[in-house]
Amino acid sequence: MLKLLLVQRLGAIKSWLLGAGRRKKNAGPGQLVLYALLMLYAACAIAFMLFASIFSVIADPFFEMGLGWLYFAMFVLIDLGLMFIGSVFMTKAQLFEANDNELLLSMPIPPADILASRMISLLLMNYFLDLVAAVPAVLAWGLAVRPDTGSLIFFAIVFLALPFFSLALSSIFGWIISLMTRRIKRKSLISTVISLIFLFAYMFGIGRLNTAMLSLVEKAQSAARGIGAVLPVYWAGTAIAGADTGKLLLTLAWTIIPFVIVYIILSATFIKTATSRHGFARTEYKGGIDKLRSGRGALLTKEFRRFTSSSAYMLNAGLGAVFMVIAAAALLIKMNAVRELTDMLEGFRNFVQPGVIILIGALNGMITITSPSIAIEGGSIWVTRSMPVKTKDILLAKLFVHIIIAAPATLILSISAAAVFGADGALLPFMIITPLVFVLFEALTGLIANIKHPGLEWVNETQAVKSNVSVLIGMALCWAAAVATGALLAVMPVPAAIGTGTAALLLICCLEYRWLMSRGVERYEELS
Amino acid sequence: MLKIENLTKSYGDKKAVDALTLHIAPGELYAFIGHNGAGKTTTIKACCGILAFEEGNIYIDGISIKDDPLECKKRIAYIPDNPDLYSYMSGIKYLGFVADIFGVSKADRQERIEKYSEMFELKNDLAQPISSYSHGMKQKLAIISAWIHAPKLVIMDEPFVGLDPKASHLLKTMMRELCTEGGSIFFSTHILEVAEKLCDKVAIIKNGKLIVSGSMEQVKGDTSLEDVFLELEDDNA
Repeated sequence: MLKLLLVQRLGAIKSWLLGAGRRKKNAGPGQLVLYALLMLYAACAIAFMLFASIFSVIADPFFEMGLGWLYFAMFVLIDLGLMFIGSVFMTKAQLFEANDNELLLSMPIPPADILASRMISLLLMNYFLDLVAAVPAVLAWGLAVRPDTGSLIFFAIVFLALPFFSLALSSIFGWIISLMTRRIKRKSLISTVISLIFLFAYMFGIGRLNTAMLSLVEKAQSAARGIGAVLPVYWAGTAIAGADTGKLLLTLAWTIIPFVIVYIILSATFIKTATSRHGFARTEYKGGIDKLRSGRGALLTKEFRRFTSSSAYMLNAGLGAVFMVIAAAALLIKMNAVRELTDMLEGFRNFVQPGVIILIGALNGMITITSPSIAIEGGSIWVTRSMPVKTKDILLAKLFVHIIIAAPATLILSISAAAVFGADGALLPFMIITPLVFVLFEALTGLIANIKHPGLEWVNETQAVKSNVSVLIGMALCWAAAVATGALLAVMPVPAAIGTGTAALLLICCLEYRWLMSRGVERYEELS
Repeated sequence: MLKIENLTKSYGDKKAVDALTLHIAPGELYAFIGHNGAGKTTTIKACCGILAFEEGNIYIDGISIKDDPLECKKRIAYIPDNPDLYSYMSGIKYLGFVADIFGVSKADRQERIEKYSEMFELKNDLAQPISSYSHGMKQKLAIISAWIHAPKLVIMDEPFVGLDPKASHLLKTMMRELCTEGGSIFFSTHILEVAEKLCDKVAIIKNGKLIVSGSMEQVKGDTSLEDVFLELEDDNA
């Protein structure tokens, strides 16, 4: 029974990952390979950021000072944080809010099997995130010292054990968030705030952790003895560094025992949890109607409501805009420090401004509002299809929401960057125009990708917004455009390179728009 | 009001609807019956401009849905078999959205929302998110939204599913009233008693092909619609 459920679950995951339409044929091997490559690309990009920002910096000093355990302890913390942040809302959706819970419970399937099938699929997701942190950690480790076989084996065991603890943690938090948000009015807002708190706490923690670890390096062994005796991460760190079997057993205990306890509790209460009606803070209708809107205005408002009604949608597709505004403020606050840093880049001074322009453009890959905008319509796609509205207007409303959210954030960051890094006469217009062209490119590419991979059938909306293949396509192509623009810097003068890159991207946008308003409209009309 | 001419729609090699021709005049209440998978929903979706078709044509108020789908859609209201509405909106916001799209005046929308939500006892729940609605409540909201722009033609797919007896009775009254005022109704149903008592005309479809159509008296004669339906199903097996 469990095997059957797992096959069904993995099949469903594959189907929505690939954005299969309702009557579309199954994905061929080519599509699967393409998707795997896209996943690998996204994973490598995140892994590279982790590798470059943390592991490669601390590996050398930690191993030189004989503090290998501290390096692995840091890996454990970063890894657990990444898995927790990356999976907590999916865990909440899969375990407590899946809309097929009642259907499955009505069948002769033991609740424990339903729960196990969900937890195994969540474990797989955790392993993917686990890998994203582990690969750069191992690479930096290998570059700093020659890892011995025992440590490598113990690292692999800890790698395999950590997702169990992460899943136990995210199950508990998922349950708490689900309980907290059940009876409140602004459910999506509260969920978004909670998620942002988690995320910023994680990022703040990572930043502080780096400083704390470096400070520990300075205080060396005495500080290590102080914290080492109490922290489970110390057990994991020393287990790997010294191939210490005792510490490994302790690590396995603190990672796996909580999972077993959580599984037993959830298994015993699954029917109650899964079938409890989601309550709502009751609001009485007191008469009156909304202000009147034109057809286009109504479509735009509808798209905004769709975006702001879902914390999963806002967090996964719109977080990049928040980051941009934060980055703009941080640039202005730390203006002097940033300038000092760029002054140190003697030989690369000319590339700072174009680099910043391209980077702001690339950051748009993190704003993927259009990418799941069709998928998230799900079964309600018939509503606008049956109404007297042009399909063009439906698609334009989706584009506008993306642009209205992404463009101001991009503009704020561009202006802030121009103020901090300056820009000579020729580059100044591109400081504003180029990132805005990237906004347009990401919006159009995401929407086109979603038309081609609609993925209208999903079990919970987190699936629709988180991992539909169109999200990856939009993100990957935006970054590829940034890389291509950067490559032009190697073959032509800076203003010409940026100008050519921007013009080429604008031309692509025009072609994409033309496709969207012709074939795209036809493809959308085939969805019903 | 609704002319279906030689409609043919295929999914791959399978013809879901095969050369179907039906005429629904103003003021007519037309039932569309058939076994599961007969092609009812496909026909209905094609009439609403949701589904493209290969052959034939559909005219709404004399306008071809192929040539001018927007003008056709302005005249119709559609209620699907499973009303998946915008769960993230409240009932009142959804009705406002539909009214905006159809350009319903403030006075008209206020009056119709008031009237129909009170009729269906949904008024107190209009500020609630649709995600908190039961299936029946969603169906009631879909009916109100269909009537909010005073359509000339209402096309419904199994409209009575999920409705309580009182709401079913109200819907039947509304359907009859709309037809009395010159509008038309075309709907599919498996509840043959309802079709028999309520409708002026009936069409029976099997495997995408029209088996019989005409006035209720012509089709059923002295027997019941159920007997005729079962007999025709067997004859064409």
